[in-house]
Amino acid sequence: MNAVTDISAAPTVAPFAARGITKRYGNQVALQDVTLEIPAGRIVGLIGRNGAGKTTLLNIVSGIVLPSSGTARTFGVPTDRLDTPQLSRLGVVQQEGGTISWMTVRQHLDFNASFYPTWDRKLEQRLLGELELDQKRKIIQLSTGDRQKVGLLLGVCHRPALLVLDEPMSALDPIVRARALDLLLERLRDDGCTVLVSSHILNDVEKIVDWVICLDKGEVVADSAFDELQESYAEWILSSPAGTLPTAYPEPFVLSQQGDSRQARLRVCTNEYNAAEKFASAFGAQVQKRPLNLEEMFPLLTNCRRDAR
Amino acid sequence: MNAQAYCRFARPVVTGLIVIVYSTIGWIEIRTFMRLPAAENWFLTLAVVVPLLCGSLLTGAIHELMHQSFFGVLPGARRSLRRWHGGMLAIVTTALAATSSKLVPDMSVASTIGISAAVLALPLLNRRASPSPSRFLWIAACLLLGCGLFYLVGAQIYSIATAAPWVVLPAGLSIAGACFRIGFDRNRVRARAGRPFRSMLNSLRYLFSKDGRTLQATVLAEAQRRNKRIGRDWLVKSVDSSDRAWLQVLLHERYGIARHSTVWTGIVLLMLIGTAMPLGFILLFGSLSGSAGNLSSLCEAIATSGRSGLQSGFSPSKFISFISFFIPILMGFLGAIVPAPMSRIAYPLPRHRIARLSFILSARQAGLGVALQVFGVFGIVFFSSLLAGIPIRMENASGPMAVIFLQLPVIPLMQSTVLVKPRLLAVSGFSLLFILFFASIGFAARFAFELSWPAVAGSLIATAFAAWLNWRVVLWRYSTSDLNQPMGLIAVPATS
Amino acid sequence: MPPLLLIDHHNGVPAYRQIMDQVRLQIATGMLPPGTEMLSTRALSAELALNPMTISKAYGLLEHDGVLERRRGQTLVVRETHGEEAHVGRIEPLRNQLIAAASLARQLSVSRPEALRLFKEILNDETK
Repeated sequence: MNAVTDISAAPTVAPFAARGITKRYGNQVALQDVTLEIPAGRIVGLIGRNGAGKTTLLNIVSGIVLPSSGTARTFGVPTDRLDTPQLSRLGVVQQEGGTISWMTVRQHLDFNASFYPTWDRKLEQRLLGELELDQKRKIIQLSTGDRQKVGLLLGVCHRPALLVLDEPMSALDPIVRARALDLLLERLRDDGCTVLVSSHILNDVEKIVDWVICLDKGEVVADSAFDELQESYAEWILSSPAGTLPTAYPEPFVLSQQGDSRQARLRVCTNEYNAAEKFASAFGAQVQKRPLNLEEMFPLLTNCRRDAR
Repeated sequence: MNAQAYCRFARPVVTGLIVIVYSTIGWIEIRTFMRLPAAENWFLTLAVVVPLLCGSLLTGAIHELMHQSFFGVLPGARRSLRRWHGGMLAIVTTALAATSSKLVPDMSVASTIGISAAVLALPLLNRRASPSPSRFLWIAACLLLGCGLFYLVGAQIYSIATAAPWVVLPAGLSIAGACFRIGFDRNRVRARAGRPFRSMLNSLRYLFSKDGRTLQATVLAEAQRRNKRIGRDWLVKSVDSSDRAWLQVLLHERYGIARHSTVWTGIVLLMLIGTAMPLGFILLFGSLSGSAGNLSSLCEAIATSGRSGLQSGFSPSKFISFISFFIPILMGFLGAIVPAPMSRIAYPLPRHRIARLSFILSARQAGLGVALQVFGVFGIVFFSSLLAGIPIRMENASGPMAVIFLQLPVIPLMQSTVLVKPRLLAVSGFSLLFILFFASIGFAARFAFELSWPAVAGSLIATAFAAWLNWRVVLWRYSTSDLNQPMGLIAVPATS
Repeated sequence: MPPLLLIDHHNGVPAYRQIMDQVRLQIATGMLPPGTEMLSTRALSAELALNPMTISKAYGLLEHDGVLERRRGQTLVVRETHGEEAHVGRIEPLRNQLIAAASLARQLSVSRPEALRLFKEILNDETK
């Protein structure tokens, strides 16, 4: 499931590549030996529990935070040496802050536009309308949702090649959120922009991502195409009227289990073709397969490093 | 509410420290200004100054809780606080009475109790209405008025207290009772919930803790939110890659909210205050202490004191002149040592450039501070010469100017200590250099300093070296640290 | 104008697979007659609010399976199928449904004759 290639041998520059990065804040370890590569032209969903290290990783990608050890490269350049050519192709939408609170929306847009030569005014106007923002209001006086909209605008209008978003939509109402998701897809379609978005709203993530990176306690526990995850994880419902099912399933691909000798509900992760049928026939039982959506997969992803129950 | 919860709000140790420190200052000031006999001095300190401080701090502790939006939901909170606060007031009154009976045996305990109880309870009347700029003026005016009043009637308080304790005690207690009732009145308490709590004195309790930074940041954010003024528009269409253009960007980020005229007016005002404050002191001292002769001779002494230090013995006029020059030098120093804060947004600039721009901005700030020092010094010489009727001679400023050159190299180093990473190193470095600053002032005060070209050259060379060191520290800090961490002592304003 | 595809993002089935299955079904039911031009990757991704890569993966696999073919270099059209191929295309979707029904029948201990009788009854009902 891992798609890491040797960074130095990559023919085209990956938008972001990390090798063995660790980030420590005092005694706390936010990221532990993380190695990954963001594939270009994808929408990558970064998921994980609170405190898993998502914000830290995103901050490392944008160069705001430097890793304690290991190498991190954005557009092929080490993140402590990012220069204007790379930074003007990078769009950052932070969870909090990143805006000058005394400015009005209009003033802030003009301010940012002045240092990004690729700023697209037409896009800006269109988005102001779509996201329903009043450009005369001061940023400090906006509600949380409106501030998130401003964050989106500031990150997107200069048409970056890599867009990094940290929980960009948590306070948006469903209608605006749908538009924001469309916006991200549109950026990919129109500019081939690589999008790296972290969100707790797995329903949203599911709609647009095609690559998933899952962090748990600072380590990478999943790093693959979303299709592959969907095809590997499933729920098997075993039924045996004769009561021939075992009490426990020690196989490593069984990640969670529930049930008794007549019926069992298993959540599994396996790539083997017809695995369910073979497994069920070993116990003389019938099996029904059901795919899992991201929200159901999530607890399995974050637990699968420990021994499966 | 139990003892542990109460102490978490009241912070007894820090509160006690603040009371001790400021009461001592109060005692000293009463002694200096009012020149009362020892017993009266102690009495006024114990019966007025200490209760005022204690009462304010204790009241601040419970008000902070009352101003929380959820306070009304807590069952029995108001009554509980009333009990605790009342208990604390009783304890403090008793302690003060006991101390007073030891230190001021002639004063009846009843009077002490009466007056201190009333003063302790007075802060309960403080509504702490939502802050506005005029409120600061109001507070300042009250303080000045209070001090003036105290100065005038201080001696009278003592005589009344000695003469009629049986009037003072019930009067004091009833005032205390009334304040208590009003302060804990249900409607008043309900009106507090949700109002922002602000008190400079009470913020001192949080001074060196992490809570202090959060409080600072919250206050800043609140102030920003209330500020309805629209900042200046950014008229640059495209920022070129020169340092000059980017300095404009950074300055706009920081000062764009203020009109240009406001910024310059502010700077000019600061310069004037640097000169006016010491002159005010001079006038005050001159008229009060009396031992310095008339005003013009005092001014003459000040104007010429620049040429010699205190070596030839202490005299009030020498002391006054020392203080006068010290004020602008200290003010300028404090303004100069604050380095430019970190930017809130990530500009598309490499780290070493951000470092360079930051260094330039910090240097500008330092320059402004030094300008304040120089302006203040010359201003004092100018005005005191004018008032003394003697010809204005610039050589009279040579002593203080020498001091300025002496402390100049310390400034870039101070800016560096704020950026150094291990907190212990930063704090100790900062303190050491601060002490060095005061030592250099004291040193200069003791010995006559002539401004000579070798001295100036030496100072400039040392300053250049210190500035270079500071640059290396700034570059190191921006190259190796996270850009979203606040630097040093300045709170990052709360995110919107 | 080809009929709309409906993608359920939350049922756990990969989007590309849903597209493939639905395109196959629409071809089998005649909603997408042979020679129909498919929407471009870009247009379809805009319409379905999906990643273009997902669309191109689906199209690629459909082309590989011989369901679609590339004409004039750029456009994808529905391939003409005859005889056995067309027949299989129509049978497959039904087969998948019947497999699930058969499994349920086994679980419910419905006998084979009874299950078949039930299926016949339903088919007759529908044609009335």
